[in-house]
Amino acid sequence: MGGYLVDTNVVLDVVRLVLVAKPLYEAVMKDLRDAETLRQVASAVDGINRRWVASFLFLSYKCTRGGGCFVVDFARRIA
Amino acid sequence: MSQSVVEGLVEGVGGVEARRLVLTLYDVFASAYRELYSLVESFDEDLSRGVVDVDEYYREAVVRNMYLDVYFLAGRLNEVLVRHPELLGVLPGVAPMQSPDALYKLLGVLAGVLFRIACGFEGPRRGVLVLLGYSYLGLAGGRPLDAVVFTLASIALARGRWDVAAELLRRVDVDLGGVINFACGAVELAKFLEDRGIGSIPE
Repeated sequence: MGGYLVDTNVVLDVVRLVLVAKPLYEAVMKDLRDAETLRQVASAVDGINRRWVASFLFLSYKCTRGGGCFVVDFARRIA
Repeated sequence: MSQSVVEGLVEGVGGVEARRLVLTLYDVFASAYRELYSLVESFDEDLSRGVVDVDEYYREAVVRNMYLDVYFLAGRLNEVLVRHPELLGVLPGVAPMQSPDALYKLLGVLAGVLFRIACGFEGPRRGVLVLLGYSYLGLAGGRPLDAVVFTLASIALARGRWDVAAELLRRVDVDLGGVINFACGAVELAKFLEDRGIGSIPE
Protein backbone atom coordinates (compact mmCIF):
# COMPACT_ATOMS: atom_id res chain seq x y z
CA MET A 1 0.00 0.00 0.00
CA GLY A 2 2.38 2.62 -1.23
CA GLY A 3 1.86 6.04 0.26
CA TYR A 4 -0.04 4.75 3.27
CA LEU A 5 2.12 4.48 6.36
CA VAL A 6 0.24 1.68 8.02
CA ASP A 7 0.69 -2.05 8.32
CA THR A 8 -1.47 -3.95 5.83
CA ASN A 9 -2.66 -6.27 8.57
CA VAL A 10 -4.12 -3.33 10.47
CA VAL A 11 -6.27 -2.47 7.44
CA LEU A 12 -7.26 -6.12 7.12
CA ASP A 13 -8.27 -6.18 10.80
CA VAL A 14 -10.60 -3.26 10.16
CA VAL A 15 -12.29 -5.17 7.35
CA ARG A 16 -12.34 -8.38 9.39
CA LEU A 17 -14.38 -6.68 12.09
CA VAL A 18 -17.02 -5.56 9.60
CA LEU A 19 -17.06 -8.90 7.78
CA VAL A 20 -17.53 -10.86 11.00
CA ALA A 21 -20.59 -8.77 11.89
CA LYS A 22 -22.53 -9.85 8.80
CA PRO A 23 -24.29 -12.93 10.29
CA LEU A 24 -25.52 -11.00 13.33
CA TYR A 25 -26.42 -8.01 11.13
CA GLU A 26 -28.58 -10.21 8.91
CA ALA A 27 -30.11 -12.01 11.90
CA VAL A 28 -31.14 -8.84 13.70
CA MET A 29 -32.31 -7.01 10.60
CA LYS A 30 -34.44 -9.90 9.38
CA ASP A 31 -35.42 -11.05 12.90
CA LEU A 32 -34.09 -14.52 12.15
CA ARG A 33 -33.92 -17.01 15.01
CA ASP A 34 -33.55 -20.37 13.32
CA ALA A 35 -30.91 -22.75 14.61
CA GLU A 36 -28.58 -22.42 11.63
CA THR A 37 -28.59 -18.61 11.82
CA LEU A 38 -27.90 -18.67 15.53
CA ARG A 39 -25.08 -21.16 15.02
CA GLN A 40 -23.49 -18.90 12.42
CA VAL A 41 -23.83 -15.85 14.66
CA ALA A 42 -22.33 -17.67 17.64
CA SER A 43 -19.45 -18.89 15.53
CA ALA A 44 -18.82 -15.39 14.15
CA VAL A 45 -18.89 -13.72 17.56
CA ASP A 46 -16.58 -16.34 18.97
CA GLY A 47 -14.12 -15.72 16.13
CA ILE A 48 -13.54 -12.08 16.98
CA ASN A 49 -10.04 -11.17 17.93
CA ARG A 50 -9.58 -8.22 20.30
CA ARG A 51 -6.75 -7.02 18.11
CA TRP A 52 -9.33 -6.25 15.39
CA VAL A 53 -11.06 -3.84 17.77
CA ALA A 54 -7.74 -2.20 18.63
CA SER A 55 -6.83 -1.90 14.95
CA PHE A 56 -10.20 -0.36 14.09
CA LEU A 57 -9.84 2.25 16.82
CA PHE A 58 -6.20 2.93 16.01
CA LEU A 59 -6.77 3.43 12.30
CA SER A 60 -9.95 5.45 12.63
CA TYR A 61 -8.21 7.86 15.00
CA LYS A 62 -5.14 7.99 12.78
CA CYS A 63 -7.25 8.64 9.70
CA THR A 64 -9.15 11.48 11.31
CA ARG A 65 -5.94 13.20 12.33
CA GLY A 66 -4.90 13.93 8.78
CA GLY A 67 -2.73 12.13 6.30
CA GLY A 68 -3.56 9.51 3.71
CA CYS A 69 -6.17 6.99 4.71
CA PHE A 70 -6.41 3.86 2.60
CA VAL A 71 -9.84 2.84 3.89
CA VAL A 72 -11.48 6.17 3.07
CA ASP A 73 -9.60 6.68 -0.19
CA PHE A 74 -10.39 3.18 -1.44
CA ALA A 75 -14.07 3.52 -0.52
CA ARG A 76 -14.20 6.75 -2.53
CA ARG A 77 -12.62 5.02 -5.50
CA ILE A 78 -15.11 2.14 -5.57
CA ALA A 79 -18.18 4.29 -4.87
CA MET B 1 -29.69 4.74 30.98
CA SER B 2 -32.80 6.55 29.85
CA GLN B 3 -34.63 4.17 27.57
CA SER B 4 -36.39 6.97 25.74
CA VAL B 5 -33.11 8.70 24.93
CA VAL B 6 -31.58 5.50 23.63
CA GLU B 7 -34.73 4.55 21.74
CA GLY B 8 -34.30 7.83 19.91
CA LEU B 9 -30.84 6.78 18.78
CA VAL B 10 -32.11 3.62 17.10
CA GLU B 11 -35.25 5.20 15.71
CA GLY B 12 -35.85 4.13 12.15
CA VAL B 13 -33.60 1.09 12.35
CA GLY B 14 -35.30 -1.86 10.68
CA GLY B 15 -35.38 -5.09 12.64
CA VAL B 16 -37.01 -5.45 16.03
CA GLU B 17 -34.10 -7.52 17.27
CA ALA B 18 -31.54 -4.85 16.36
CA ARG B 19 -33.34 -2.29 18.46
CA ARG B 20 -33.82 -4.75 21.31
CA LEU B 21 -30.16 -5.62 21.27
CA VAL B 22 -29.14 -1.98 21.66
CA LEU B 23 -31.71 -1.36 24.38
CA THR B 24 -30.63 -4.49 26.25
CA LEU B 25 -27.05 -3.33 26.36
CA TYR B 26 -28.10 0.06 27.63
CA ASP B 27 -30.16 -1.69 30.27
CA VAL B 28 -26.94 -3.39 31.32
CA PHE B 29 -24.96 -0.16 31.37
CA ALA B 30 -27.74 1.59 33.30
CA SER B 31 -28.02 -1.14 35.91
CA ALA B 32 -24.24 -1.30 36.20
CA TYR B 33 -23.69 2.36 36.60
CA ARG B 34 -26.48 4.70 37.70
CA GLU B 35 -24.40 7.84 37.39
CA LEU B 36 -23.99 7.34 33.69
CA TYR B 37 -27.78 7.24 33.49
CA SER B 38 -28.05 10.61 35.23
CA LEU B 39 -25.31 12.07 33.02
CA VAL B 40 -27.21 11.08 29.86
CA GLU B 41 -30.51 12.32 31.29
CA SER B 42 -29.18 15.75 32.20
CA PHE B 43 -27.26 16.02 28.93
CA ASP B 44 -30.43 15.28 26.97
CA GLU B 45 -32.41 17.78 29.04
CA ASP B 46 -29.79 20.48 28.51
CA LEU B 47 -29.78 19.73 24.78
CA SER B 48 -33.53 20.18 24.59
CA ARG B 49 -33.19 23.50 26.43
CA GLY B 50 -30.32 24.51 24.17
CA VAL B 51 -27.94 25.22 27.05
CA VAL B 52 -25.26 22.54 26.85
CA ASP B 53 -21.91 23.36 28.41
CA VAL B 54 -19.54 21.05 26.51
CA ASP B 55 -16.64 21.67 28.90
CA GLU B 56 -18.76 20.69 31.88
CA TYR B 57 -19.96 17.47 30.25
CA TYR B 58 -16.49 16.55 29.15
CA ARG B 59 -15.27 17.01 32.73
CA GLU B 60 -18.14 14.82 33.94
CA ALA B 61 -17.21 12.19 31.37
CA VAL B 62 -13.61 12.24 32.61
CA VAL B 63 -14.78 11.79 36.20
CA ARG B 64 -17.25 9.01 35.42
CA ASN B 65 -15.49 6.94 32.78
CA MET B 66 -13.20 5.29 35.29
CA TYR B 67 -16.12 3.35 36.72
CA LEU B 68 -16.98 1.68 33.42
CA ASP B 69 -15.21 -1.53 34.24
CA VAL B 70 -15.73 -4.32 31.74
CA TYR B 71 -15.46 -7.05 34.39
CA PHE B 72 -18.29 -5.41 36.27
CA LEU B 73 -20.37 -4.96 33.11
CA ALA B 74 -19.94 -8.62 32.20
CA GLY B 75 -21.30 -9.62 35.60
CA ARG B 76 -24.25 -7.28 35.20
CA LEU B 77 -25.01 -8.63 31.76
CA ASN B 78 -25.25 -12.08 33.28
CA GLU B 79 -27.75 -10.78 35.85
CA VAL B 80 -29.89 -9.16 33.14
CA LEU B 81 -29.89 -12.40 31.16
CA VAL B 82 -31.04 -14.34 34.20
CA ARG B 83 -33.93 -11.88 34.62
CA HIS B 84 -34.73 -11.89 30.88
CA PRO B 85 -33.93 -15.36 29.52
CA GLU B 86 -35.76 -14.51 26.29
CA LEU B 87 -32.82 -12.30 25.43
CA LEU B 88 -30.59 -15.33 25.10
CA GLY B 89 -32.06 -15.70 21.63
CA VAL B 90 -30.78 -12.25 20.76
CA LEU B 91 -27.38 -12.78 22.27
CA PRO B 92 -26.51 -16.22 21.00
CA GLY B 93 -23.23 -17.83 21.74
CA VAL B 94 -22.04 -15.31 24.24
CA ALA B 95 -24.33 -15.91 27.15
CA PRO B 96 -24.18 -16.63 29.96
CA MET B 97 -21.05 -14.55 29.89
CA GLN B 98 -18.60 -15.54 32.53
CA SER B 99 -15.64 -13.73 31.13
CA PRO B 100 -14.95 -10.13 30.10
CA ASP B 101 -13.49 -11.58 26.93
CA ALA B 102 -17.01 -12.58 25.85
CA LEU B 103 -18.23 -9.04 26.51
CA TYR B 104 -15.40 -7.58 24.46
CA LYS B 105 -16.40 -9.83 21.60
CA LEU B 106 -20.06 -8.96 21.90
CA LEU B 107 -19.33 -5.22 21.96
CA GLY B 108 -16.99 -5.58 18.99
CA VAL B 109 -19.47 -7.45 16.84
CA LEU B 110 -22.28 -5.07 17.81
CA ALA B 111 -20.16 -2.13 16.72
CA GLY B 112 -19.74 -3.86 13.36
CA VAL B 113 -23.50 -4.42 13.13
CA LEU B 114 -24.22 -0.77 13.96
CA PHE B 115 -21.70 0.43 11.36
CA ARG B 116 -23.39 -1.73 8.74
CA ILE B 117 -26.82 -0.41 9.71
CA ALA B 118 -25.57 3.19 9.95
CA CYS B 119 -23.95 3.26 6.55
CA GLY B 120 -27.23 2.19 4.93
CA PHE B 121 -28.60 5.56 5.99
CA GLU B 122 -27.92 9.02 4.65
CA GLY B 123 -27.94 12.19 6.72
CA PRO B 124 -27.79 12.58 10.50
CA ARG B 125 -29.02 9.04 11.31
CA ARG B 126 -25.83 7.67 9.78
CA GLY B 127 -23.70 9.66 12.21
CA VAL B 128 -25.90 8.85 15.21
CA LEU B 129 -25.47 5.11 14.72
CA VAL B 130 -21.79 5.30 13.78
CA LEU B 131 -21.09 7.16 17.03
CA LEU B 132 -23.14 4.63 18.99
CA GLY B 133 -21.05 1.89 17.37
CA TYR B 134 -17.87 3.72 18.39
CA SER B 135 -19.13 3.90 21.99
CA TYR B 136 -19.21 0.08 21.97
CA LEU B 137 -15.79 -0.08 20.34
CA GLY B 138 -14.42 2.30 22.97
CA LEU B 139 -15.57 -0.02 25.74
CA ALA B 140 -14.31 -3.09 23.92
CA GLY B 141 -11.00 -1.39 23.24
CA GLY B 142 -10.40 -0.28 26.81
CA ARG B 143 -11.14 3.41 26.18
CA PRO B 144 -14.09 4.10 28.50
CA LEU B 145 -13.68 7.88 28.38
CA ASP B 146 -14.04 7.81 24.61
CA ALA B 147 -17.04 5.48 25.02
CA VAL B 148 -18.83 8.00 27.24
CA VAL B 149 -17.95 10.90 24.94
CA PHE B 150 -19.14 8.99 21.85
CA THR B 151 -22.41 8.18 23.61
CA LEU B 152 -23.03 11.84 24.44
CA ALA B 153 -22.02 12.89 20.93
CA SER B 154 -24.44 10.36 19.46
CA ILE B 155 -27.27 11.82 21.54
CA ALA B 156 -26.29 15.35 20.51
CA LEU B 157 -26.40 14.34 16.85
CA ALA B 158 -29.77 12.65 17.31
CA ARG B 159 -31.01 15.99 18.65
CA GLY B 160 -29.67 17.79 15.59
CA ARG B 161 -26.68 19.33 17.38
CA TRP B 162 -23.75 18.54 15.07
CA ASP B 163 -21.85 21.43 16.66
CA VAL B 164 -22.10 19.96 20.18
CA ALA B 165 -21.21 16.46 18.95
CA ALA B 166 -18.18 17.78 17.05
CA GLU B 167 -17.03 19.87 20.01
CA LEU B 168 -17.28 16.92 22.41
CA LEU B 169 -15.31 14.68 20.06
CA ARG B 170 -12.62 17.31 19.66
CA ARG B 171 -11.94 16.87 23.39
CA VAL B 172 -10.79 13.31 22.67
CA ASP B 173 -9.01 14.41 19.50
CA VAL B 174 -11.55 12.89 17.12
CA ASP B 175 -13.01 14.53 14.03
CA LEU B 176 -16.74 13.88 13.68
CA GLY B 177 -16.91 13.80 9.89
CA GLY B 178 -13.68 11.81 9.80
CA VAL B 179 -14.90 8.91 11.95
CA ILE B 180 -18.17 8.68 10.04
CA ASN B 181 -16.27 8.54 6.75
CA PHE B 182 -13.87 5.98 8.15
CA ALA B 183 -16.55 3.63 9.50
CA CYS B 184 -18.53 3.80 6.28
CA GLY B 185 -15.34 3.39 4.25
CA ALA B 186 -14.66 0.18 6.18
CA VAL B 187 -18.21 -1.03 5.48
CA GLU B 188 -17.84 -0.23 1.76
CA LEU B 189 -14.54 -2.10 1.67
CA ALA B 190 -16.09 -5.15 3.36
CA LYS B 191 -19.06 -5.13 0.99
CA PHE B 192 -16.71 -4.81 -1.96
CA LEU B 193 -15.05 -8.05 -0.86
CA GLU B 194 -18.37 -9.77 -0.09
CA ASP B 195 -19.63 -8.94 -3.57
CA ARG B 196 -16.61 -10.84 -4.87
CA GLY B 197 -17.27 -13.89 -2.73
CA ILE B 198 -14.86 -13.04 0.09
CA GLY B 199 -16.71 -13.33 3.39
CA SER B 200 -13.72 -13.57 5.71
CA ILE B 201 -9.99 -12.90 5.77
CA PRO B 202 -7.88 -15.57 7.46
CA GLU B 203 -5.37 -14.42 10.06
